[in-house]
Amino acid sequence: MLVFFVYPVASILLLGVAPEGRPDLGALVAVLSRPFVLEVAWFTLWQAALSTLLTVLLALPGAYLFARFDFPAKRLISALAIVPFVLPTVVVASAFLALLGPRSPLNAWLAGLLGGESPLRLEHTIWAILLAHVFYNYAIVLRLVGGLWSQLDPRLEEAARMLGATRWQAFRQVTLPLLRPALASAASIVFLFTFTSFGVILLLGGPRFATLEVEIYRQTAQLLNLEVAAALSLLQMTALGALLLLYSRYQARLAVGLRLLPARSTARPPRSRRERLFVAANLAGMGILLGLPLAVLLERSLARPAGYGLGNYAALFAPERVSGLFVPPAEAIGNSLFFAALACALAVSLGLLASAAIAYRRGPLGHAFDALLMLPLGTSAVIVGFGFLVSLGRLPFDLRTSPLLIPLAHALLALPFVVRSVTPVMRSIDRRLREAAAVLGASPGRAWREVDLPIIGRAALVGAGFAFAVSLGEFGATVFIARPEAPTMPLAVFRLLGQPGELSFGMAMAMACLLMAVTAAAMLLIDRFRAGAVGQL
Amino acid sequence: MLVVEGVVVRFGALEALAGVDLTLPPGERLSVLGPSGSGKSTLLRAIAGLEPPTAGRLSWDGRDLAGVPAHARGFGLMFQDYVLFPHRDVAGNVAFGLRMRGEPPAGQRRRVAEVLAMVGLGGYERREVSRLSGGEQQRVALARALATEPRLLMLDEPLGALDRDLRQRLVADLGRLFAELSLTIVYVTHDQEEALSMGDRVAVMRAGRIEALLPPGELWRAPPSEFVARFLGFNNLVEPEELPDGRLQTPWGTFPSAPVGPGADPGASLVLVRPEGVQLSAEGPLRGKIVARTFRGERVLLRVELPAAPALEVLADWLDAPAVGQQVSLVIEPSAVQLVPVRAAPPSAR
Amino acid sequence: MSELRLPGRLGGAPARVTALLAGVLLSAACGAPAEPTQPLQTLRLMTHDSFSISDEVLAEFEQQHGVTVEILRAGDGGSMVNQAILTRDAPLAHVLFGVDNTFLSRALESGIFTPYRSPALADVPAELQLDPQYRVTPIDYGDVCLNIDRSAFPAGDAPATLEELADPRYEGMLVVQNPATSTPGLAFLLATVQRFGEEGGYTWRDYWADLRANDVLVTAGWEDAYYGSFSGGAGEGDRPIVVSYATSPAAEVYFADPPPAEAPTAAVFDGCFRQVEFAGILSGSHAGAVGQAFIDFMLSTTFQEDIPLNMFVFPANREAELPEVFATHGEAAPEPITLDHERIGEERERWIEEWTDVVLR
Repeated sequence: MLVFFVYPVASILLLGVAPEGRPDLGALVAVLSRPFVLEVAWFTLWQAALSTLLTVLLALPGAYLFARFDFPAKRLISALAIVPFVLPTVVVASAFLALLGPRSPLNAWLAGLLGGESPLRLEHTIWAILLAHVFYNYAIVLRLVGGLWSQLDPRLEEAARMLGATRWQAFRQVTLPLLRPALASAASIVFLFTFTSFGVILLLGGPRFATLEVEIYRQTAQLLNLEVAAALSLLQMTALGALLLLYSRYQARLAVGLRLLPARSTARPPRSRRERLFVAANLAGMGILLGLPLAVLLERSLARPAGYGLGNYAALFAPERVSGLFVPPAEAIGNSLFFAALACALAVSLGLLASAAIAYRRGPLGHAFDALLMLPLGTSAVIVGFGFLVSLGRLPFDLRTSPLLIPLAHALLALPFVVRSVTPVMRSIDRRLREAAAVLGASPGRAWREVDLPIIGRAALVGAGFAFAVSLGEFGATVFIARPEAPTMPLAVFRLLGQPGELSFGMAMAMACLLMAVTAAAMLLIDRFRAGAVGQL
Repeated sequence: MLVVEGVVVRFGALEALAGVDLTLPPGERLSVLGPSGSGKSTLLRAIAGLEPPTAGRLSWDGRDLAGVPAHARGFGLMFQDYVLFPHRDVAGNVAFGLRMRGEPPAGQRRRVAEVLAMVGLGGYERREVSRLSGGEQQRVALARALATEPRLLMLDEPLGALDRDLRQRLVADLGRLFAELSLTIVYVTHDQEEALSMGDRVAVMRAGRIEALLPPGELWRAPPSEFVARFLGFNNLVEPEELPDGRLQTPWGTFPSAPVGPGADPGASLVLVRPEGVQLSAEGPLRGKIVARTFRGERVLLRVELPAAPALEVLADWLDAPAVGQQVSLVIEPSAVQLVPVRAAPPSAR
Repeated sequence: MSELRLPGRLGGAPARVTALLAGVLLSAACGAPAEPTQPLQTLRLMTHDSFSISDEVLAEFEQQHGVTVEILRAGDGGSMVNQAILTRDAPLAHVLFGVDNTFLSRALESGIFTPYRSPALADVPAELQLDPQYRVTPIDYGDVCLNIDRSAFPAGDAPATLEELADPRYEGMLVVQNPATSTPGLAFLLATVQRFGEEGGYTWRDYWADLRANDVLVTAGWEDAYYGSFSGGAGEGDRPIVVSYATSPAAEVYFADPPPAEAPTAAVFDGCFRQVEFAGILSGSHAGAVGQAFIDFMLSTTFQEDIPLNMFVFPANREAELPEVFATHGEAAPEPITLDHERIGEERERWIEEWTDVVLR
């Protein structure tokens, strides 16, 4: 962490802040007090806050649905909900345009209704940004909050209702406070992602919107304006660091010893009419929000000049057409899965250790550590990358000996997901369970393995799912690392979208659909593993 | 043999154990009785190795336990609300300790079946623990603690959460089982009946100290302090005035001098009138109204309010006990009167 | 044609952190250039994301010279050049390919290249050879041109000149890329600067103000303009005019199944900006003779004839034969606009700022 993150970032920031070897704070302040900087910072903050709030509000009913009810295809739907997470922004933007764009059926219908030409114009508005942020981050709330919710004893709420609380009061007074660790956890990740949002802002928000992240990228990669970039990075990191520290304190305060129940004992099929209605409405909402864009991609992947067919998929398997750009899908799938599996394993094992350090060691050090783990997600990549460039020459490492570099990089990014899903559960474990194990002869390590590990297994698998998805969808690293002979699936999508042509587009969509399918399949597999090996909890 | 010497456990400003001394010979069953917050559970946890003592010393057969972690002490502890592993089934819970010891699977299975049969849960191996009733969970927890044949078995309010009927049955079952296995037992409870039936000796705790440590009969017969007496359920306690002739004057009448509990200071004692020694009669010096009736098995405890004296509790026969609201006359038998010290004697005097 | 590649999913930090982190680490791992005394085992080529060449072609070079060629992709054109500048003292690779005339002056000023005059330059037109000191060698060129959706102009009334775009007839029809984040966007801006000039009664700023009044749409990158907002080809949008490349119609034919007789889109040859992509040997990389041989090889007809269908640009070597689809659907602009690269280097930042003020604020 120190070597791979702190040192390079410090190096590049120093280059920006102190070009002559002496820190020039005056210049720093001058940059930060420019009106455009304040504008960008303010926009970054409020769009992130609003996106987070919207995501949590919209996903909470879904989390309830998955926690408390059994319904057909539950596993499949839950696996599909995470698919947006891996999709490249360009692909998602095109799906949104197909649904809401000027030539969409919805707009045609609205035009007939209201008159005028395509009355709904979401592209390049804040609404498009918010919608995309919800689309991308829905699964984070669904999984993190739903995971804990499904293990809460439903009788707690029943007890509250017997004490005269209405359904709403019972939720507000009992369930919500108990869910707070997971809620805070999910919200912090969503906030972090939306705060540092880049592609969505550029593609769906259009050029009038800029987050700090976008501005840092522009100043560094395009203009090589290190002074401004360093100042902006410092601003972004300070803001996020402060926020994360705050979160981590809050999280520790929230820790309540909970007796968690096996998830499957808390869910049941909907019984009353009202419950069935709730389930149906909720699923319909998810279908519209998450399902439709995915369905559109599927539709586009099947669209051919002459009706529908598998031609785009067939073309993916026909090497003669696109020599140098070509990536056989089987190979891309293999590469993607290989990276993802390694990154996932690494992230989970490191994440469990980190969570243990955070959950069991209270106090300021634990908080700082927690916040530090999140910072790579909150630091502009260009800064890290360029930091590496300038600090690299001074390090005597033989990095050649480290074939784990790519999964390690992915794992570093996936780590917060594991930590975020595991720590709340770990904190909630009744410590007397460990004591019971101790008096039965289990050493502390053994007790942890025998008691904590199986109980947090479910949460760890939630984290593992995210880690897997992060790695599957991760694009940037592979652009740099992947040799022409070892590209991953998102990379293939980009290569195909980088050239004009109906077939290129169709093949890109087909590849995106394969990516979706692989992701969903992997999620299903992980879910199955969770149901089987890890036991009842 | 377990020896506890001057053990203190402090949580910040709170002194949960304020210096406890205790010697437990092998095979003895010790009940620890006390109100909640008196330090009972902390004592168990200190012995188990889950709570390091702030001061004092614990030893087993002369060996200091200070450096020995909980899992290496070979003691068993059954937790208050069982703390079963929710992610394992009944057999998984019971076999846990055996697995930790590296018992081969076949041996584990045999032993699990054996202990489950012992606690009356034969065939429950594959049940999920969260679906068991309270009594069944209690038995699983017991089986889990028994499976490894610990050299010291500690039980923390093992019957606390159960209904009275079940509790009484289990007290008998446990008593028989412990006798059969001739285990060394520390049995923590806040229920005096349970404590008196389970223990060869009973330790009564108060504010982190052992206030009394006596065999159950002695404790019952002559409570060594007002606190103990009240905790055992004696409420007919009143401060006497000593007359020049040595007799004791109380609002309930004047009694000849009474026996005093061991080691107590007669100057600072209360008069205790045992409720079984108060008779209902047609005529009597004390007249009052019955305000409460409490069922006590064959008998019934009546609370009688007196016009010019504190209320008296009277143990009467169930069949001819008058109803609430009736006026009755009371006669106190001299044998029912005894003295109870206000404060227990310091440990050195015992 | 180095386009800003917007990373996956949230596209945010995660993707790019690892990107640069891992990429750079890896490159460092293998890219520490060999000592000058030892013969080169591995030739490392630093290039942008859009680079592509057939495996057989690279294999040919590897066989001839007994080295392995490794490709290091360093992001879009801008970040690649900036990375090369930052690592000037300990270069990540031996040869850099893909710096174009819009970034050329920054690269040359920072002194990252060692001069080499390839004999193969004899076959390269003089107007592509922009560096008289031979620090960089032109490899290919492409024209950034307006593209139109033919089906939207059935009567042949598509705009034929830059000036016409400001005509109210074409209101709401044009989509361009942001020059701050996109190379074709920048190229188009440069074309307008050159055409309308900075001074006089009607400057390029006035022109863009007119385009803005005519409801021009600005996107971040080429992909979202072409596939998102453009109505031609597979685009989801409703705008029939887009800034793209002269070769895009050819690609529309080549990447179609079955290939149509006529491309669904067409390039407008007025106001095309010519981008030239260069390769150069990185100074201090000790590339030696192999590095020079690679530059020669990149100008050879083997490599040059492989360029068009891989990167959809034109080979710099005039001896290289164009594939058929180029001959019929993908001509280069006859009179492209060019702009002095030194002037671009000096003024670019100001132009982008001013453009942003006129068009976005």
